[in-house]
Amino acid sequence: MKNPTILEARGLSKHFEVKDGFFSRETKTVRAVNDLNFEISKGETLALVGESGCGKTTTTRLLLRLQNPTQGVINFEGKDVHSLTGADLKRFRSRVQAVFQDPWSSINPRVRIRDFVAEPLIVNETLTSGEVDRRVHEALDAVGLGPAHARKYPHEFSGGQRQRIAIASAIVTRPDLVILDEPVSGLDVSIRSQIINLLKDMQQEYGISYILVAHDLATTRYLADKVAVMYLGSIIETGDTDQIFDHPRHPYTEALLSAALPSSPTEKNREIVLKGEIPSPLSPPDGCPFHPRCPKVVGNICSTAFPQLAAETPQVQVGCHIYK
Amino acid sequence: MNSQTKKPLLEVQDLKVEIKTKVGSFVPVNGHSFSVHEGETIGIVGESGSGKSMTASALMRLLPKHVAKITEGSVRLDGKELLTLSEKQMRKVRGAEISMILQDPQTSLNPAFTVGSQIKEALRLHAPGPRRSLRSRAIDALKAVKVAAPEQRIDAYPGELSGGMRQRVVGAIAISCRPKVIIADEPTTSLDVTVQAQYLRLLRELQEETGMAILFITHDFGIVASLCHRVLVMYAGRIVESGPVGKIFANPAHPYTEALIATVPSLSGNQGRLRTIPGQPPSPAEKIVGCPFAPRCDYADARCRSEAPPTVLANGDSEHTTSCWRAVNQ
Repeated sequence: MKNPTILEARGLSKHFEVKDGFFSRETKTVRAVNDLNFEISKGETLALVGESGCGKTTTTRLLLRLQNPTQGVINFEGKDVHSLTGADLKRFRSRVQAVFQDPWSSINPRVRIRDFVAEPLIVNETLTSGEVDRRVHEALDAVGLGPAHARKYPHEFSGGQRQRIAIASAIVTRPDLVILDEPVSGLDVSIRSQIINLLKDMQQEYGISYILVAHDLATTRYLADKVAVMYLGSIIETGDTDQIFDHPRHPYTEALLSAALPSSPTEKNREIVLKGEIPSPLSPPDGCPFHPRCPKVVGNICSTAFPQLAAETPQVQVGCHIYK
Repeated sequence: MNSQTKKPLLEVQDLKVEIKTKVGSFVPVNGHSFSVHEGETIGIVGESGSGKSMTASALMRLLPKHVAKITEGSVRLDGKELLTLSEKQMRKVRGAEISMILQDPQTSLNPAFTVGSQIKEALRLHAPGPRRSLRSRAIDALKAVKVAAPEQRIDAYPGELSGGMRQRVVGAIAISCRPKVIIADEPTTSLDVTVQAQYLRLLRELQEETGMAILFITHDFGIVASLCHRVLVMYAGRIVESGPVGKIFANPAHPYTEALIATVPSLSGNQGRLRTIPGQPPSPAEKIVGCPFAPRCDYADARCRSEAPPTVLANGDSEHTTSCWRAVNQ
């Protein structure tokens, strides 16, 4: 039984124009995100995995409608997100929420917790203040903070508690989708598992879908049902988390997973150390974006033709010339 | 590696640092004792506020003046006491015999000078020579950290290099004078995973070549597992457990170490609910009575909350110590 799809991206691209130099009139194009296709069902977690500059953040900004795509559409409940107006847009804003990395900068230090958590409700819905209070208390309760905290200010809380507050504010409108941008990497190690468990509990209880952006691969594996591995703005492998982690097919995915640190010294890692670094998105290589660093280049085709994603198993799609 | 046969390069005894503020004084480094041997990598693991970076700054004698002070202890580098050196003498040691790699290569390089001039600065101060040979020695240092095309890169400004490349340059400066000890304070935190793997491999290779001792400060047990020979686990300004990496992972003696290792999700999947440590670490300014971990510990009893536990051998093993009342009772 498959849950209904709540959001899908089709052919999503975002290009930025940048000046070629301080005095130059010529512009260059950065293809931050290129022809992305993915979908998320109700109650499911999709993780975007990749290193800095691969386009994860641009993707989340497009999903939150903070930026407009150059091409392609994002459909939320069947409607194109970027052409929503009026009441439909308000509805979208309250159905889709976000939690960011740094709980020190994502919470306004000058408002009480109650007002911070209530803000999405006040902006997007028409409720009496009694109802707002009830919903805020409910949300604080759900993240494990008592209603007594509602009158406090952010500085009275530790990092882990602040992240709980940020999560409370994201779920107060009972959203369908929450975008989690590095939700635990700003927290101390001993606090992380508390928040990871909380996110999992919320999903089970309210059926929320998550889009997770995290550079920590173990956290990704723990939380995500599906992953999309990105490299230089394109998805190069996507599908079922367990299948991809147990049996990575794309050489980049393989190298990325092998570079992840072992969880104990007995787990001797067979790391594949890649040469070089991610090329500048200003001048991406022709053909497969990964070919200059790829240890498994199969021939000329790698440097001339872009490998399209193709199904390798019913649950996994890979974009690599090895599999053609 | 057998640490008995190698000579200790860095010996720290009862090191204590005190910070004085308007609201009172506190002790972020409380009586540390440890030694680092030739060719050995020691990991210092702890969360923010546990005193890891304060320890590093104290060893380099780079604590913020007028605020923090070393009140007790001794630090010997290859037999030489560092804490009694004058600032002028210490300047000769710093960079030459003991050097440091910091977390953020954006801020540890000066953006207004070329990479080459910053490497040459270290060489000029500690191993002066004719100008032309300085340049070729700087190129050698870049070669040692595997920077591609060092002859061109030496004239580049830091802004022209990527994060991983910049961190290599910082590494090149740190090793340019062949120090005996390198203190690396979370050098890979700002790097991507694949670049981190390259950097850790580089450190291992440099160590094999030069036999330098590395003190690696991190919050990540994964780095410890892949790089270090021994570990010191810090909590609230104290070393709560120390020992060889294998034994600490297989048989953690302190409840904090045990819980910390257990809370990290595993890459191989198939886990149930993650274990959590309740509460949060104490703030450095908090007055601690008894064991600092007692409020979060599953095993804490009345004595844990009132008396600080002594440091004892864990499981009767002379290489493995812990400060926990449970180990005392065994």
